[in-house]
Amino acid sequence: MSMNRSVKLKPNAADLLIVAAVLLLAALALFRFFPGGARDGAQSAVVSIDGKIVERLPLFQRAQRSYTANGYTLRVSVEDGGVRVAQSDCPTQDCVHTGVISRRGQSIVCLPARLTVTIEGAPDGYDLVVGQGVAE
Amino acid sequence: MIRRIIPLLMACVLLTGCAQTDTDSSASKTVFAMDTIMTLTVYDGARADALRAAETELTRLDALLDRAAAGSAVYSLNANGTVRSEELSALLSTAAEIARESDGAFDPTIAPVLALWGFGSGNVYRVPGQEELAAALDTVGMERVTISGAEITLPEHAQIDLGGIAKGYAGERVRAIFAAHGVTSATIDLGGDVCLLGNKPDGSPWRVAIRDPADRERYLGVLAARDCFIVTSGVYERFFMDNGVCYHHIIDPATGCPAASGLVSVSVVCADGAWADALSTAVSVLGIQDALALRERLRQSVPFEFIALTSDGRVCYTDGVAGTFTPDGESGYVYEPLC
Ligand SMILES: [Zn+2]
Repeated sequence: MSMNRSVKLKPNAADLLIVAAVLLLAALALFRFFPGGARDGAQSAVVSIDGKIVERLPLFQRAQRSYTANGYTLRVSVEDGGVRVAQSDCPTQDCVHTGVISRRGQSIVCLPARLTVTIEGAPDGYDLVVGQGVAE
Repeated sequence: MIRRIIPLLMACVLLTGCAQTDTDSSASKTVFAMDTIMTLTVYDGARADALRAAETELTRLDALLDRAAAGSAVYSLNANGTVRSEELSALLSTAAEIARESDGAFDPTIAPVLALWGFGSGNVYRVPGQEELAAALDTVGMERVTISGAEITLPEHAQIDLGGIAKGYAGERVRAIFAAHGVTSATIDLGGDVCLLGNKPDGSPWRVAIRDPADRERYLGVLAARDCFIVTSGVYERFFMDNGVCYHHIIDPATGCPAASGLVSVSVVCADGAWADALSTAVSVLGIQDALALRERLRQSVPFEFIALTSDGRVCYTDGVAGTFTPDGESGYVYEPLC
């Protein structure tokens, strides 16, 4: 097979379309894997049940969600850049008493429902938090 | 035409591929074990296999060490006064060594006294009477537990609770599993206590914030650390009020009463998980001066550092972390390096 015969110097419309598509895909890939670059300080509340992530809620927009897990129902509320468990029918109420969390690495734990809300995202001077000892 | 599309499509695939391997480099798993939530995060090595193996191991350890689970080795030991288990025997030998070194400030045989106060599982909080307290204290003493090979025997009426060492030991086991899977950078959050494996993926140390027990939104400071355990014990974790007096769960085995060491919270930094865990209790019971003496005694064998919050609002920290612990200026506490 010889390349010489099909060489064209002027790109046609189809070529330009493909180039555009590649650039768009590349941009999408960058945005998807480097979301921090697009929005500085973007944080999200990661909701997990039984250790599996069920939802990521961006902290910059208000949201109300209900989750039912292991027989308990929790209402999670995102407002003013923070997240809290507004209501729960669990027996301990530790999750509700934790109040609002807003910094990376902080978490709310509901042991009876096996539900956690953890803040992920923009660095805030540390990687991990110790000493929040969950009471039995 | 087709010949021009193929290289472009290839470029497209390459671009996406690169972006993915560059940043999608951590894998994490949440595990419910030992009455808490553990979060394991690995940054390299055989990540998925490492996490799976770690979860299996944590479940196994829970079944071995949970004194409330019928069928566990610790349950059998408490119920029958004796049990055969090589692993439990090794862990109890470590516990006995820490009890000896700390003059009994850490002692897993304190279980019957904890139960009297209601700090056992499912009990009701109350202040015990002098006589029953004296009777329970008579059963306490790790040195009277017989460990002979895999065979463990308790003296009459004695009970064991490994709550003060089991999590640290579990962290030790997970760290070994990670290492065996080629992991060199990982964090193991044991529900408020952490094990750090190696450095962060960028080569810098992990930055660990120590929570202010008085205010969840505030911090005592940030510690830069690598390859160690950071385990915190605090009187605030469990307590009750009775007639205006606060009774907390860190019981001094010498008196059978809540420790009056003047420490509210203690974070111990140590390379060994079981020791870090047990030492956080020991330091809480001993108070600053005796804890410094203990640290001196262990300087060659098990070096450790600690950061302690006192009830009069001072944050005291040992010289080994003086260069890596950054006090939080907004905490309102007085910072005091120890030497
Ligand atoms: Zn709850």
